Amino acid sequence: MLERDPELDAMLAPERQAPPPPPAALTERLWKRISDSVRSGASPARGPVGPALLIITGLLGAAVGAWAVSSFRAQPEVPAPSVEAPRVAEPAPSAKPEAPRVEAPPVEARAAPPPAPLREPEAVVQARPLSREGSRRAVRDALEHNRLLEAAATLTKHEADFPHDDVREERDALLVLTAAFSQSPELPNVAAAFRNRHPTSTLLIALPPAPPKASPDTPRPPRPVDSLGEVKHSPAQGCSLSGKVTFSSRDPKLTASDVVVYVTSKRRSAKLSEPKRHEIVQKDQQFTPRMLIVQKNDSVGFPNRDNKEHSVFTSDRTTVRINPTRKAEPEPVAFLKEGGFRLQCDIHSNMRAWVVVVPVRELATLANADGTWTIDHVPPGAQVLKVLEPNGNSLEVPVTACAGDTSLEVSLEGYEAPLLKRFNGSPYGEYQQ
Amino acid sequence: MTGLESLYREHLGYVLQSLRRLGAPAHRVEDLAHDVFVTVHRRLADFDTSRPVRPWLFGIAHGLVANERALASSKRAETRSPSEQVDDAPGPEEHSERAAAQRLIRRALEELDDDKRAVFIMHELDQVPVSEAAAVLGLLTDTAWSRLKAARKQFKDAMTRQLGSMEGGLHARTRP
Repeated sequence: MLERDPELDAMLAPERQAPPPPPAALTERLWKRISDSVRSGASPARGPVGPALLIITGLLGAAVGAWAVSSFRAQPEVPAPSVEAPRVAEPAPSAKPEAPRVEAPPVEARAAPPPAPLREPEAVVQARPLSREGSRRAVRDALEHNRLLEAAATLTKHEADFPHDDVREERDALLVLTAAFSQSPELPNVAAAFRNRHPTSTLLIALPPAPPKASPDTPRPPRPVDSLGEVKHSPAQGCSLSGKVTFSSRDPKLTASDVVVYVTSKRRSAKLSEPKRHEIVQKDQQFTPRMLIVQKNDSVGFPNRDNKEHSVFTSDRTTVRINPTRKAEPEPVAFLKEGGFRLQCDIHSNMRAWVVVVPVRELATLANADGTWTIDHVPPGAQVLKVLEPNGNSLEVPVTACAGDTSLEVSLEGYEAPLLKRFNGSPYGEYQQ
Repeated sequence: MTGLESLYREHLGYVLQSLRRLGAPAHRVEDLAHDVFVTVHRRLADFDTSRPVRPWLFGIAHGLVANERALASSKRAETRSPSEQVDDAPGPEEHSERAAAQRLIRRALEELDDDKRAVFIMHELDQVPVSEAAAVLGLLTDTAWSRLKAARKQFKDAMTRQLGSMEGGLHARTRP
């Protein structure tokens, strides 16, 4: 128990007084917003463009519903109005726009799929710069008049002008929505790309189901670009790279089998697989597995199957900070940055594990106990191979895949084991109340 | 909505104060207060009325500010230094000694790590017992004590540094 500190008490005295009453105008204005939100059943908004998200959520649900209905009916010779013609009820005139009710267009009045594939809207749609409020109004206005692509483009511009506002999810949702309304054949791809980019989005529930994966016997058609226009894929062909790491460790608990070898080419020539969920279990005061290789955007769950409490955090103190209990399993954590993360328990100093986030999961491997390793399906051409040991030392080796002899031998000297500290920076063993 | 409205009228000042203490950007305080009370409305049925309300409100505000900060940092949008995020707009109390002292305290709070700051505010400013603060913030009690200890040291260091720099500046201005 900490003693009271008179010096600290004196410092804090001015701030300990009761809060001043807020201005009446603010109180009333805020109360009106809150009652509007409560009546419309809205969730807390994520940012200044939260109202747009509410509208999009409503639109997306209805649009995908309409898409699902129409996908069960034949509709080839149906004449169709314009693509951007879903009838959206006018939102109630309130300070915060409510999610509009959308009537799905009748099946017989559907648009034929447009010939051109969807493209990312141009970032610049208005020459005149807009204020934040003006930009938000432009998005709302475009949505209210069913100009979905324009709304998406305005959101893109809003993102560039006001980087504090995260509107990527809303913009991408609008692209999905447009594809759904126009019955574009690209919809499954656009939806898959949305899933890739926003693996934790609450809008995923409204998306059409993921297309079934092709069986290994059927050849997959080449898909050169992702439908949202960013990541370039190429067929997963290539050659095997293999070699041997001579690892001299200064940390007695590490061996060659803890060394990770992966391809880290800056060229995105390898196929990216869907984000995947992994697990690191806490059992018998150990993390299992001790080394986990994941791809960027993969998520990792940390179930506690021990009879003790644990408190898990990563060496950067921000990526993971959870208290998994035996009763409630915490939500999985998405790893969004490449690199190595050491996992520790705030309570038990002997618990250590590592998560290594690599660009392409399939192009990474742990070395064997004797230091040998093999990576298959490396795309042909110049690549950069990275060899990383858990305490942080690494080396990069340029290689050329499919160029004859691709066996590599490298030596890596490991760093000494770091002095592990608790989450708050204090050493283990000095824990007191 | 009566329960929500009475909570709102009684505790809005506290929520706004907590959001500022937690380092919410000045331009987002009102939006975040809105989110706090919408969340309160959603969770009101599950709230144990035998427990004090303010720690519960603080827990909600803390979660929302943490989300806001995570979102901003993931977008690399947080380009301002922490001290710039404090609401320093001159108010009616601009010239009062108390307001100046409060600004110093807010700046020192900004220098604390997020997790330490929450425990520190709850215990040292809102006078909430550490066990209650730990429960609200989802921490082990031992962890909360440990963070409080570290936060006290960090806070005192920050205050001493600020007071020192003010005195240094004053001294420099008064010398010929």
